[in-house]
Amino acid sequence: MLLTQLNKGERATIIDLSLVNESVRRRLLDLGISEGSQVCLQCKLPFKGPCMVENCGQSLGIRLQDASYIKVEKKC
Amino acid sequence: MIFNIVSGALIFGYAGWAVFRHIKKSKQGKCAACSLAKNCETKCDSVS
Amino acid sequence: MLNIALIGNPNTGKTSLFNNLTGTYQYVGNWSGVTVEKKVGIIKNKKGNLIDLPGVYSLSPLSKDEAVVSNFFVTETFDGMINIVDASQIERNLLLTLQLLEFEKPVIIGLNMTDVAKRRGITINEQLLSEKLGVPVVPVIARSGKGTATINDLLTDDLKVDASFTLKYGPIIEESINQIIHLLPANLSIPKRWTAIQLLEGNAEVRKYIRSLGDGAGIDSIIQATNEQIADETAASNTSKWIYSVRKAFIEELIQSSVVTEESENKSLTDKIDKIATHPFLGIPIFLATMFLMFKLTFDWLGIPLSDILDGFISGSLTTWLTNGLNTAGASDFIKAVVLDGIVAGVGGVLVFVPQIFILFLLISFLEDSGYMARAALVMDRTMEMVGLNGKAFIPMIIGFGCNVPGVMAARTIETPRERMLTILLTPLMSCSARLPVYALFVGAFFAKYQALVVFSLYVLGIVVALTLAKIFSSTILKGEFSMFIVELPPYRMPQGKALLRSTWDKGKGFIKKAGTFIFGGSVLIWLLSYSGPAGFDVPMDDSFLAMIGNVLAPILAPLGFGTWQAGASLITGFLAKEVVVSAMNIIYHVPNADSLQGLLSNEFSALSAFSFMVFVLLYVPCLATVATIRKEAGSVKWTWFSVVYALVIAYVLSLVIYQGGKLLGY
Repeated sequence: MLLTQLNKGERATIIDLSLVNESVRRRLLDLGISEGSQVCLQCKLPFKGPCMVENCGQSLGIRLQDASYIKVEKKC
Repeated sequence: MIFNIVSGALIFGYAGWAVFRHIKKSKQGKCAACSLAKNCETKCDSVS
Repeated sequence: MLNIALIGNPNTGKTSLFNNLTGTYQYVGNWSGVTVEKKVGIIKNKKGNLIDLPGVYSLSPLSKDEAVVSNFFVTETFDGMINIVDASQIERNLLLTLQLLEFEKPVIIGLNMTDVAKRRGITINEQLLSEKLGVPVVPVIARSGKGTATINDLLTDDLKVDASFTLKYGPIIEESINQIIHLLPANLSIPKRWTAIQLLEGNAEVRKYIRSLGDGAGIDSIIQATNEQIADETAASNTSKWIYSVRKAFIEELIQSSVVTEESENKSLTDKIDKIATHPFLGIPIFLATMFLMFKLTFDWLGIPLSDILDGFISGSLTTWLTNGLNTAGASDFIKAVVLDGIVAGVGGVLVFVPQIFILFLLISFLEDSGYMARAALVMDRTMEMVGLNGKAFIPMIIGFGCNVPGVMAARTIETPRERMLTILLTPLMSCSARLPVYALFVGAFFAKYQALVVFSLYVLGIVVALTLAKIFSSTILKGEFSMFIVELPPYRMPQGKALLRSTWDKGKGFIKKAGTFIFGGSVLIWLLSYSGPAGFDVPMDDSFLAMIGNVLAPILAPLGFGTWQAGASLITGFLAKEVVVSAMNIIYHVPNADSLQGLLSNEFSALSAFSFMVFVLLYVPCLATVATIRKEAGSVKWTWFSVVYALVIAYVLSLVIYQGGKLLGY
């Protein structure tokens, strides 16, 4: 499933970043987010605004469009 | 009389210098002297 | 003398540590990208210089401020590094540390924010970390300065070089590294292994540097071949990913052995505040309300009463003392006129507004230090995206409220060149503090009851115009599809009183300094121009040189509602520094203080033309210093001229619309 399909507050593991734009992916890697990272969708802003994602206690804002290219797997 | 000449010279001298320096500095867009300036693109200080 | 570089991820407290180690004061904030240029200070133990660099995640740059760091590594010589590591985000911080260790220079690791880490259940064994990496690890609390003494002691003339650290990247990469090392110039000033690794990783700055030394075709083909080999033979799709995964694996092992993590699921204060600050629907209203409150405090509640007291002093006691003093000294009428009508009127007229400006700066500093700025960027991103910008562009704009010069520079943190250029061009539309005295003067005279509201409307107008123009520019002259936005949201923290006062002072001192130097000089010159004319000295002001200059502009400005030579002359002087508009008006209208000037102004302006004038001052041209900075940051004369011309056109058109439209509506 996609990161954007998560509900607010749900946790998941990132499984694929290859569809994400090159520069965005570089920045995500810089922030320590790569395949295998655990993320939590904290909130989505309205009107297709960016969403807040948490990883290892660090929050970051990312655009909905970019987030929709991130494939994740929900933790059971 | 002497007071007038001295104070006049001081005031106008300082004023001219201050304006001149301000324009010179502004044209560079901030501080000019920096010890490691070889690849400094904007000349240091980010706060005026 | 030692040259020590201070390096670390963004917003890990580098500048705080810098301030504590050097005892100087530099600007700190709570968001990524406060420092966009390197700064140099002398270390307290007098052993050498400390160089504060912009925060980076990696030595391969994506944005302009990061390129400053890569460029520093390849072209400057330095003796050692202090790597500041955020303990609560140790994994990704260590990614940078590994690249620094490969540079074969002494490294001291300053482990910051251990308290935040502890709250999150992370405990780090510094001893073990230090052993594994082969460098000293010093726990510090950068904000309070704890631990800086230990770092100071470690910075001695014989900094130990521990070149023993090497991370092996597997047979394919190691082979390529060897090949590249052979091709590098023998007298290369930077470590060859590091250079080879950075080249393989795709560091554009290093590549540019190596190319500048000679033909890099051989190296390029090795990089190309390695990339293909990695894609074919390993799970990674290119070299940089492979290198990243090797580093990541190394770090994971390191953390397993030296970091203890406990699960802690308690909701932090940050989460609670974020629930409101980045609320889906309340986010933007909260941002606007915060801004409005800021102006309410600055004008109605605190600033005006304080300004009135100061004004009373300058126009009352101070003027009396000066008059008496000058009389006693036997000053001529000329000297008395230049002091009382020129300096006191010009400089005093601007100084009166110091309280407002400091209050505004205090509030801006509070917002910056608290961590709200990054949230504002997040909340605004959707709006910004619609006009072809990204949320990050909002931070330079808010900084621009203080002074446009650092605002334009802060645009460096924006990754895409097109968005960066747009931000540089539009930041000058943000109403900087130098324009504040002009507003304060006019709202005091014409909108006494609604001061905060009117000023707030001007600030909002600046933002609206900027966003509208962004839309126009991005769909015409600065077209481009790609836009990116990722922002770190730092935890909130309560700004500390002392740091807050310092950063307020730091922003405001320029204003006072300017009053003593340039405003002083400008006032004297303007006074001289108003005192002299073709007929000689002490002419009626309407026949002075200043009137002649102003009269050139007056007919052009007439349709905007202020076609007097007085307005024209003060606007011209405002190009050098916008506060001078107020000085010029004070001098021209021959009154020693703002209070009576406000009375006089009501004869010359109506409420409508006053508003039109304020809008014109808000937009008309960036001041000289800003123009120079734009020229530097944009690196183009063409764009610089564009920024000046478009601002003039917009200012004229908008003021025209407001004045003529207002007249039609019967104001």
